[in-house]
Amino acid sequence: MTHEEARELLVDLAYGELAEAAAAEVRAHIGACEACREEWSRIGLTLSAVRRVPRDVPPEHGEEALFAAAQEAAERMARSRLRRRSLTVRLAATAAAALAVGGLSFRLLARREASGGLPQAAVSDLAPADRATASGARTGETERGEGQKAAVSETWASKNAAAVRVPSPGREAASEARVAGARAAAAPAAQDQAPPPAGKGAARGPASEAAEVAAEVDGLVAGRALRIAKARTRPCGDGVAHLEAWADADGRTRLVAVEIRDGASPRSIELLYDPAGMLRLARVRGGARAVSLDAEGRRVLEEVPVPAPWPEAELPRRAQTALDDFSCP
Amino acid sequence: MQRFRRGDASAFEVLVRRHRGAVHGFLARCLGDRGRAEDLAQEVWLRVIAAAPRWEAKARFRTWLFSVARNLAVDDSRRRAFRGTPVPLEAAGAPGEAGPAAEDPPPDAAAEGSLLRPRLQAAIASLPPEQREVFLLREYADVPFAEIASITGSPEPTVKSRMRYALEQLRRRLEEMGLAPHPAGRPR
Repeated sequence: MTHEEARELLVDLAYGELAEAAAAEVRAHIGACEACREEWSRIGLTLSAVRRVPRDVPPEHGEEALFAAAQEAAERMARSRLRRRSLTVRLAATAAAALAVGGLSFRLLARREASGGLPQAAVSDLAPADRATASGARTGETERGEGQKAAVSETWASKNAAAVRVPSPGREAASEARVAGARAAAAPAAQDQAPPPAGKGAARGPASEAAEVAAEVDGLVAGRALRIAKARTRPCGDGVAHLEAWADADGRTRLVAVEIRDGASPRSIELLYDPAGMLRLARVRGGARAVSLDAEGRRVLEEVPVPAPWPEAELPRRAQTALDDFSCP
Repeated sequence: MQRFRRGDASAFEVLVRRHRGAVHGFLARCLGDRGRAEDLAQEVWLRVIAAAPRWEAKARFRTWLFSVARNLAVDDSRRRAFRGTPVPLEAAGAPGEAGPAAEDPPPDAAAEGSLLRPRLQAAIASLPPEQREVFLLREYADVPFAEIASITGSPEPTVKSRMRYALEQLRRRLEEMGLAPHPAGRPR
């Protein structure tokens, strides 16, 4: 081993990253080379000085909320796996039934293959028993569509489970807000996965539109695409409220984060605005309590019942004036 | 991580308990602000939760975890620079700050640690960023050099050179601050 080779390996030796044979070689070189011996000694003295300072013990507060968020995520992932497995079984059963009906099914499959799908006319041509089978096949197709939709929703939820940064002076409250935000971000996804209400078909409701705005804003925050455009601190009850307006690259305010410290436990409120500057979602403590609003400002979704009357009438509807119009609840 | 993906929440708790100290230690030394480090550490774990459904074992979990932590720390520093927020020096002390002389007899090890901590933090803060991250990942997060190379996107020999320079500069800074290296000290 040359001097240069041995010298390069001194830090590996210091951190125990060398195999025994290589370590022995480097040690032998250190014994014979004064320059390496001095450098080895300096490394040792430096690390010794560094290690005289005890390591920080990380705080445990916030862990419960984190584990609760993980529990919810784990349950979602388990459900998702179960859905996929169940869908596979159902599709396999449907395919087996289709094969069992014999010649007619062959004709059916041939027509389906030719057309790339099962035409409605083909169903009406069939005998009742065959119609039921064909209907099953169509149901399978529908469920596959919902499976894809669920997968999209899961991706959306995952993407938006990224922490919502609530710029606030209250670290603990902001910390809770981030966890709650991550948990709340999954809630609209669960709603998307639920069957649509009878008679409404697949039409998007105001709640899902609000959820889309929330997803978009959360995505912008996670992607660091929002910047603080304005900030203000004002009296609020016996304390203060710190408000920050976060704007996108076009200068449109998409998020107003409010931290209230008035002697009670610190509260944070996020006001999420659509691109037109209208309030679409208000989240208290990042979403533990949340209300979605439609374009007219009517409440369309309440994730967790709020014990006290929700002050939506006091929440500034327009992003442009949010900082000036905010009234302490 | 694979167990967590399959819906076993206790696997996530195992991951947190295994790596929590290292993640927090890395961020705290990197940012020089324990409060901010707590926030970012929590964000790291939330990202783990968010990424779980799409997780593929392409790299070691630890490598990926510290890549996330490092990127968050870099982003945070940039953002604070952009917003003009001064970097807190709550634990760092100013580089030239006079502290108790190293030869003062420390009443006990804990007290000695609390006296040395600000000066060590100041010495670490004085390192160039690319040397500092290598030192912190190796010393406080116990990440091997090969993984640090993956995390930082630098060749492994470069990583080791940075470590050597970092140790040399730390030694000088600590000497300037009157921190006499402990004579019993030898690498592990």
